[in-house]
Amino acid sequence: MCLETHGAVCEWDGDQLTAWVTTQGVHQCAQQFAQSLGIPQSNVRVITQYMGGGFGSKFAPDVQGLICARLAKLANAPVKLMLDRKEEHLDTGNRPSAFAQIRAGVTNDGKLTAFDGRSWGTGGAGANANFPLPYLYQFPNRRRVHTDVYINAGQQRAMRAPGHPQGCFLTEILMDELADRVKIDPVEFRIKNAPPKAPNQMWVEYFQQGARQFGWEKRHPTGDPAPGPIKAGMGVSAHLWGGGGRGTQAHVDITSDGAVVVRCGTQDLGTGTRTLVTIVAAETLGLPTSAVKAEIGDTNYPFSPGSGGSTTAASVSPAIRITSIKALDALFARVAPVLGTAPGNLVAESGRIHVKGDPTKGLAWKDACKHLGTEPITVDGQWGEGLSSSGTSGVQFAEVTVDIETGVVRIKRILAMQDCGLIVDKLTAESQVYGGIIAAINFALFEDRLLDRVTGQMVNPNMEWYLLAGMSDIPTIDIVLNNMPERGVIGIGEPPTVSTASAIANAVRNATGATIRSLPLHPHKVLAALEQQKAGGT
Amino acid sequence: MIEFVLNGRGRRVRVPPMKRLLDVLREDCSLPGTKEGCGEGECGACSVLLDGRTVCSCLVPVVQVRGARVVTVEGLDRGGRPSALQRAFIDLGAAQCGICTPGMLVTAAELLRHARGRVPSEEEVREALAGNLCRCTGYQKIVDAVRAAARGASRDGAAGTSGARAPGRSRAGTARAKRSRTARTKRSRRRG
Ligand code: FES
Ligand code: FES
Repeated sequence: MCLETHGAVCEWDGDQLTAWVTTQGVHQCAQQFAQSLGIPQSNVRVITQYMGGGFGSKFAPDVQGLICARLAKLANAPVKLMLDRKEEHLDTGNRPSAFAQIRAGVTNDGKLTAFDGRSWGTGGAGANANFPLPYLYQFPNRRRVHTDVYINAGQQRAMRAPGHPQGCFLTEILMDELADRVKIDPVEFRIKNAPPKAPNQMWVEYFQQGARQFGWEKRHPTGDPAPGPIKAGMGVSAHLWGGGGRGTQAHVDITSDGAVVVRCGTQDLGTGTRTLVTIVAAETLGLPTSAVKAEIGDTNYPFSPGSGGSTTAASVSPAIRITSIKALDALFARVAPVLGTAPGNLVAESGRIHVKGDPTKGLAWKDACKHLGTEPITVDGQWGEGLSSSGTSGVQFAEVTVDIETGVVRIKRILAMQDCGLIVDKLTAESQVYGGIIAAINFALFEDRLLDRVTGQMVNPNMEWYLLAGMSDIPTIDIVLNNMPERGVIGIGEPPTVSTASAIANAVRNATGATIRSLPLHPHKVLAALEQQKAGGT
Repeated sequence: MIEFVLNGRGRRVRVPPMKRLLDVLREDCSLPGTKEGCGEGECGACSVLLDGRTVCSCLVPVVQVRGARVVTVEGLDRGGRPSALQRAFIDLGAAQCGICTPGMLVTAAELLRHARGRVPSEEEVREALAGNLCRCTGYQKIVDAVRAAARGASRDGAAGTSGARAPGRSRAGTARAKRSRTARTKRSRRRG
């Protein structure tokens, strides 16, 4: 669910359609408009300058986009069609559900031996709901049978890190229960069973470093012995994500007035793609970011794939870098004769083009560009190997308090250990981690789509009863970003949202001693778990 | 014909009296800065200042602003330059998609005006903005930005709102919107 609903503005000029759509993929959206309306794709232009979040739910024109286009045709006028909040809840998908029965084996010294699971999930009417299970840890013997259950409800959609929070939760709560069975600290237990260290598998290091930083040694065994109704506890969880991308094309213009325009048909979901494009071009050309104009979000610009799977940074950054280098080389070739040197001897830095090692032998950027005269530099380029890769890992710690009289869970602190390859921009990378964590706090404590059992209708399609965390629900969040420049750009939109809910659930278990096996942890569920614990069941 | 003061300038609109202020601002006044998130007083994206107080413009019929002062996010700048508050949002990365941002800015501007140069505590900021939901940022940077702006403002004595200094006159819409915000504030307190 995004704060901005789905929708579009459509306008026809003869048989040419221009659609301003809130979409995570302008090019793919144009293709789908063309297919659904039965018109050539060359007649469709999709524009997304800014959009109010997507989180996986906004790609295709959907019913509302196609109706909007048809109405605009009939009315012979521009038509705006944004869903209202109720329609948004009913019609634009959700994270599918997950349910599992698991048996697992572990040796007395804490080595996992076997996983045997049956799982179910529903993606609504005719859509699948699979998820990775068991998650991350090494079970030498594993068996799993999954069944998709179709019900008469709206279809699921991708929701930030599709499948992973579910698989992570089911596995991570199992890990804590197993650790208690063999009486081993949960961090130590995880270290024993995590895959070996590799650039894309940094868990062991993050467990150790994070435990130190978080003060894990202060964690008490399961069940806070403190008197009174407020119990405190700590939990931990680990996750992985792929990321990585390819396929982006870009265009760079440099004109005689020194202006630089970078065009790329990617889109900014609020994740900072426009900033990324600007930073990569500016740094390559040795200019301040204010000297570069990034134009994105338009199918008139070169192709770039849709933004899903945390792939945008890794597909866009290399394309911008490579195209900017090409443009700079072309500029060097034009300026070198003026400076009486070979193009290969030139560098661009601090707003100047000069001979390597001799900043005095050169020209200010603007003066250098004057030599372009009436023939600007205009180059195309595309993504290439070597500047990006895929595979990230992360670990999160959570500390909570639980009021065992009311069942209210309050999150005190979260620590996130995360890598994403080369960090292109620390501010926006951190923002993704903060945002991912709050999304997962919603998953852990608040968001709950309630369906009428008979009709499959959602009974809380509004923001009054479909709860989201507000400012006062937010804990202290500490982020440790592990910069790995040698790995190139990977992507960070999704991984930080995977672990949080599992770490919180384990912290609630640690605080109360109650077995927590279901999300979201609404107070009544916590109270029910406490009741069950008193009755002696698990 | 309904007359009111919009971002410091007199404004007349000929619209149905029960049209939502939100729609009048966006459609009839060409000020699309004010956003709609829920249309039911829950998210705060549509917040504007009505006689200096934050209201949800999705809940205010335009007839209720007759003769009042309305300030939208477009009215927060300082002669075309971002205010200290807006600058802090940009510098600290307090926005991602930006849909919640106008409402956050308007509500924070009211908080800073009431603080009169004092830097509000984290708690105070969280309390004041409890009725504004954000799906993207995780809130922390918004809290940081509001306090950073207050620190800057306590130096140069100006962070808040232009054209919104009149003391609040109580109106039905104001009261209703306020109630709704308080409800959410209470609810979030109840949750934790
Ligand atoms: S649009 Fe959400 S409160 Fe008005
Ligand atoms: S920045 Fe997207 S909702 Fe706040």
